Amino acid sequence: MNCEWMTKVSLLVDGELSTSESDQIRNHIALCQTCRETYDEFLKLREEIQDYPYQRDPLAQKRALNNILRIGNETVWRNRLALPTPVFALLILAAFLMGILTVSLLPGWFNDKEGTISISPTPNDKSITPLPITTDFSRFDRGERTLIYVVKKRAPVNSGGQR
Amino acid sequence: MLADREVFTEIFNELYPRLCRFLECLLGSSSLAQDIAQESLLRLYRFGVDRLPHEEIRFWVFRVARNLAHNELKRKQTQMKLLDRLAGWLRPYQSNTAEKELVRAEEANLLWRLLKSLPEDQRTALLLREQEEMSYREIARVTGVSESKVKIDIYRGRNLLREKWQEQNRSSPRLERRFKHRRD
Repeated sequence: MNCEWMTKVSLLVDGELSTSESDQIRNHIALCQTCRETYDEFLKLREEIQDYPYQRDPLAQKRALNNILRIGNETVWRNRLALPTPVFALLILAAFLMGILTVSLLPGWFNDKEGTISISPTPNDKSITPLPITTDFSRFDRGERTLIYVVKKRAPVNSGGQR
Repeated sequence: MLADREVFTEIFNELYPRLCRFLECLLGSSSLAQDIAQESLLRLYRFGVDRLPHEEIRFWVFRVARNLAHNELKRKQTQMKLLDRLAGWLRPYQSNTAEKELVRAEEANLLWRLLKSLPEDQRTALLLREQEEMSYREIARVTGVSESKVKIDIYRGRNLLREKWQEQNRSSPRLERRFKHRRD
């Protein structure tokens, strides 16, 4: 048999009622056997739960504490250095693009297969004796002539030996 | 840094046994309770003890522990059902000695078996109220539900537990004598 006051009995057990409400329910408990039995049984259940036979394990407790202090300290440094995955991916991509850009700017790196550089006339042509290199160009005003080397690029040679 | 470790060690020594007791009643496994207790306190250590007011630390840790236990219960729900069935099949084939040991273990775990029959919300609210002596408002903060729900959960949990306990007493008079002896 359930009494309508039983919900308030639970609140009384937990001390969640005001003083006036507590007095009211206590007066009712004195008169209602159902509520009185319920109140007693609720208190017994509390005692059983509080007396639950929990076995303390000091060794496990110490081991857990050491684990936490060890793992916790390692994680602090990792957290300081760690980056979010999207940021890390962007950094890798940026480094890759910078690398490609740097390599592409290196002189002649991509010119390897485009052709050879030729100098005309060749420096080994013994019929011509070039003048020593000088920065005095006033002799050209007097009509003097000199040999100028022309440097031009040749087209790459294909497998048939044709340019 | 050393002061932080000392403060944390003090908090750990205070909360770890209480967490283990709460989780053992909630989950029914002491090893699992220890694992989750350690994980909860590790998260507190990483979060920083100085970032919380001292009176809030207990609720913070219990909230984390309760959430981890909830995830674990969901995951193991099917496994536990299968294991229970298997234990039921094996019981008739055990010898007398083994049966007596099993009965003793059952008596010791009777409370846990009665608690296990409660829905998880009711069990959690009841354990926090009876073991940790938290108020309804504090339980509502830990579990993330309203105070009204906590009131209802605790009342229904107690009622259901009381009915199960009476059923057990009717079916096993030895248990009644044992509880009577403890009460007296």
